[in-house]
Amino acid sequence: MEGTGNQEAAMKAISVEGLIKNYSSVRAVDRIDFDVGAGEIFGMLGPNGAGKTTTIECIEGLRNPDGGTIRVLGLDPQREGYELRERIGVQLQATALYERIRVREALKLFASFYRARSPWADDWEKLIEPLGLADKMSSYYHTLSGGQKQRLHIALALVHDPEILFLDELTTGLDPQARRAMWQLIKEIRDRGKTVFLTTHYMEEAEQLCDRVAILDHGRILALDSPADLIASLGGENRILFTLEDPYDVDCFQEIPHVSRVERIDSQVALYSSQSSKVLLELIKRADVSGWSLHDLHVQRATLEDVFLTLTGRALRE
Amino acid sequence: MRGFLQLTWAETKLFIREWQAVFFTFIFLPMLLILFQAIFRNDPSVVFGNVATVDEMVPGFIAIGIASNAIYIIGGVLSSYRERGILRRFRVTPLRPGAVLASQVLVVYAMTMISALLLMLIARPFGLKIAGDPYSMVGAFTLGALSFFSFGFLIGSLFKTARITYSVNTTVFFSMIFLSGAAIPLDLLTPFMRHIAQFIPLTYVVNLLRDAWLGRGLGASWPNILVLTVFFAICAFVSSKAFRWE
Repeated sequence: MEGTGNQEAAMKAISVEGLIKNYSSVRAVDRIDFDVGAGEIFGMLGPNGAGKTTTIECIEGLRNPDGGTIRVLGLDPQREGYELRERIGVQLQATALYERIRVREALKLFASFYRARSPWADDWEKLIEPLGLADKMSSYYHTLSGGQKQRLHIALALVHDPEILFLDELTTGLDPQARRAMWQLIKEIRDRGKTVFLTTHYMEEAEQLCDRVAILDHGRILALDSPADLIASLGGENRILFTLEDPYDVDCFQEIPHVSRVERIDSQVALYSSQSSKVLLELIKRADVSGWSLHDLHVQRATLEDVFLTLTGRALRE
Repeated sequence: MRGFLQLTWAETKLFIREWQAVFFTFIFLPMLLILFQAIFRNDPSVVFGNVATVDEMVPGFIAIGIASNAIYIIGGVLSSYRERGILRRFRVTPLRPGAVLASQVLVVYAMTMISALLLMLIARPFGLKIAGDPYSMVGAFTLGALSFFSFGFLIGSLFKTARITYSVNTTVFFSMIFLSGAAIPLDLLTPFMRHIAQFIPLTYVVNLLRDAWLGRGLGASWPNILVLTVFFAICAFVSSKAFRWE
């Protein structure tokens, strides 16, 4: 039995119990618990100010919690910080580097901070090539674009081949294409057996990238599951969207069978239903009878955005 | 240790790539020395107590080099690293805080030393005679440098942004240069200003360096040594209390 217990503990990369963090009179993190399994991409999703950065920084050992326990790879980030930092890689939310350091020099410098020899020490290209920085080895930091800097910071977090990679608001400020490339990269890192802990306020990022997502609001975890299960928890509802310029009565949509909820934003109408094809047929029939012209009619499956909306009554992006 | 060495090497390259620092340390000060030589010529001067002008001026300029590197480089760099989150980035690695400070001190010490040697080399054609022994000179230089570096750390620790630090630095630096006897002989100042000079820490560096360079020996300079040691201790203590990584 004891063996199983140890094995279970070994499978846990991070465990957080009853974490509390206050800033003067404000409680930024309010008694949260969760575990992160080894080898998974675990995301914290929430609006700005939800407590994501505070949580990740408590786990990294940058902030001293006011209550609760944190174990990362079995270590206490406060008391065993130096030991822990040998084994984790961190990309901070707002971070900078010397303006006049070259990419190669920065890699060498950061690699020298760790006891273990970097597996890329003989061939930095191997580390930097998948990050698309191979031709930037001799460039100064200040000449890199925002996205290139971001990718260099990921490389610097990876120089010592850490067991856990922490990413705080990884893709903020990146264009959609760069963002997708970044997701691919993070998945490849996970596939090499690393654990990834990230925070984001993009629900699409959480949905596409994370194996499990904790939805955070006002310092509390509202839900924690795989993105698919979180969405399924809404009852498998889809959203039928269309624009209608003609005058209409909301009730006539509400009374369509299987419609659970109607939302209106200006002339845009959203019908929520778990039987979207039946609703669609009925809707088109009624439009025909009433002489409405429905523009831009389409069906959207539910997203984490809807999960957040259901849990908090607010949209994520505000 | 490997981290410390790599960091020191990186800081050395960064110092050299920062043209303002290079310009002031290696070009501006020597040029100023040449200019002052042209103005004052090298006759033994009454204002210098019958010591040749160049012999008085070189230790004074070395003191200016110490003050500028301590205040601008150590003070300024520290607060700009903090402001830009570089210190914070180091904190999530196993690098020890002491290594960051020590590498900074080592690099600036070496650069200031090189600038001192350069000044002495340039002053040779003007007839510089050095009467002091190398040990006293290195000792005096080291005490002066370390006490002012700890002052630099103090400034870098006290102020929130690099911009404020820079304004404070400039005020402190120029009042020190003109009131310490480093650039202008104290005997040219009014008695009131000479009184003020007694409260300027750089005055004691200038006096200590002159005693060492002119071969008066460190024994005769004990009041300067005492003042600078106390100054060092106070600055080091306060800055270690006030220092923040972010």
